[in-house]
Amino acid sequence: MTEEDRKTVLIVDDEEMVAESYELYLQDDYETIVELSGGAALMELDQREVDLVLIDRRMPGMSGDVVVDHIDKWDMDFQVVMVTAVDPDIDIIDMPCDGYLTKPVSEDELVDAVERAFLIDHYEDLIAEYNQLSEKYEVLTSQFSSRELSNKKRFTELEAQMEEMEAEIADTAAQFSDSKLSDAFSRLH
Amino acid sequence: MGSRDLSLYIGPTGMGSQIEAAVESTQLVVEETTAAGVGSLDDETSPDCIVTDHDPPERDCFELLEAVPPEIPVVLAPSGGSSSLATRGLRAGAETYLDPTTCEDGAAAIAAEINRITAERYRNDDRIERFTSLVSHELRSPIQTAKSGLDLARTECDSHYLDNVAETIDQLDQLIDNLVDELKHDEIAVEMDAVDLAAVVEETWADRTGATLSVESELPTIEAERSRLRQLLDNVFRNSVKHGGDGTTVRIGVIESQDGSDDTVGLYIADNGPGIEPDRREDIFDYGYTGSANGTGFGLAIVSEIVEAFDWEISVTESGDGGARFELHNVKEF
Repeated sequence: MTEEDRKTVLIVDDEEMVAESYELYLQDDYETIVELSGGAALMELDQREVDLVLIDRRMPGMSGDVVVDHIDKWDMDFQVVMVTAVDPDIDIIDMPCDGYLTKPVSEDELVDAVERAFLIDHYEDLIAEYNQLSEKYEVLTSQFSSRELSNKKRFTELEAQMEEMEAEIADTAAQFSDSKLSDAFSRLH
Repeated sequence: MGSRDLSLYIGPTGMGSQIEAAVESTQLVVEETTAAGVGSLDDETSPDCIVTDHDPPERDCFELLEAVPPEIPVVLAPSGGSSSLATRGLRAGAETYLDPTTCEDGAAAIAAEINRITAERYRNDDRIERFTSLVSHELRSPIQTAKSGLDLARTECDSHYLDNVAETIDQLDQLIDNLVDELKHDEIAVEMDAVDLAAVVEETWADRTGATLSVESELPTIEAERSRLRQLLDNVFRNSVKHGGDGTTVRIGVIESQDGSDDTVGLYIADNGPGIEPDRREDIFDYGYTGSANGTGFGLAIVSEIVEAFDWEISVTESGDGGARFELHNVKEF
């Protein structure tokens, strides 16, 4: 992976030592930015493009909850993982985040959660792209007979492309380490 | 804990309606007979409070007191009371005795008692919830800070003292998990389902380094609650590895049935650690009891509670290697 391809993770935690340790865990594979408050994180998000936000839920001043609400309202397109000492309650259902980790977290848990969030993101992109191709496929197959279509090179390319994507979607779903999640994704497509 | 906003009255419908009109922030279920009242108590509806009339044979407070779990307070409010009935009812486990015929408005008096009991229960529940949340957050945050500091320190120096600190932090973490778990569940409630024991054993053991797991027979699908079973296995594995140290081998398998006559199986988990002295085997499942200077005294006590909730039995003996051998009995095959 080249430097330009590296994804950027914004780490937000009011405990400097904690934020630095997350940076240590992730810096080999990702670009990292550290902010120590919710307000500073929002300012950073306004100025920089990030791919994932790793945020503490309970912070003095602007809490992680408020920050992710803003992210949700502003329709920002990146993954959000909460890392918090607050035990998850039923309210996390409505929380606009893609992962939830309970402190204390180990290096492996943190790296896994980040990888998983990116995998989900990739999976969603694949599904969106596949759906677009699928719509076109439906329109064409209702418009033309299969014999007419079989003579059209661009259509056979479309079929091949869809087949490739189906395989990639299945592969991606299988990469989720949690077998339940993997099964659920497999059922979705 | 009860189903919030739900109380049960066993008595005449007319009286039930009057009480219902006077209770606050609770739904009152009215049943005419003790049998119907007891029948309405299932896992889904555990009322915060039960009030019962006593007019045998249809309404028998003693029959009710025998059937109701002790954590649900029962108010004995007979339409025809006596001091003898009061004494016997209280001895049988009623929380309070209230004779509505001696009150100006009997229904209002009963409703007031229901309101008092439910309010008190809510206050206790809320207090426990707040305290649990506080313990959880205020203790886990510094643990994270300590872990983070330790990992950062490892990048600058290498010292066996750091390993010791890491071990201590892990113990504290485990202690807090157990403590929070205890606070959340004053009594372990389980929902039994079919669980693939082999898969749960594999999941639970995963990532344990320095020790070896040997599965010595084909593990069956059993009736258990998956998360609690994981907790049980994790605590037993952790106990074995903690006392046995690096190089511990933990063996798990099915105990061959003597007669094979029922649908239950026995399981063993044995290790090659130092074992447990015969005179300590009774105590190891007690809260606070620990055989090591750095133990928490929670792990095996929780195991014992889960075993009880599953309706299993547990015992400990010596393994073939001189280590500890935990045996689980009465485990239902699915």
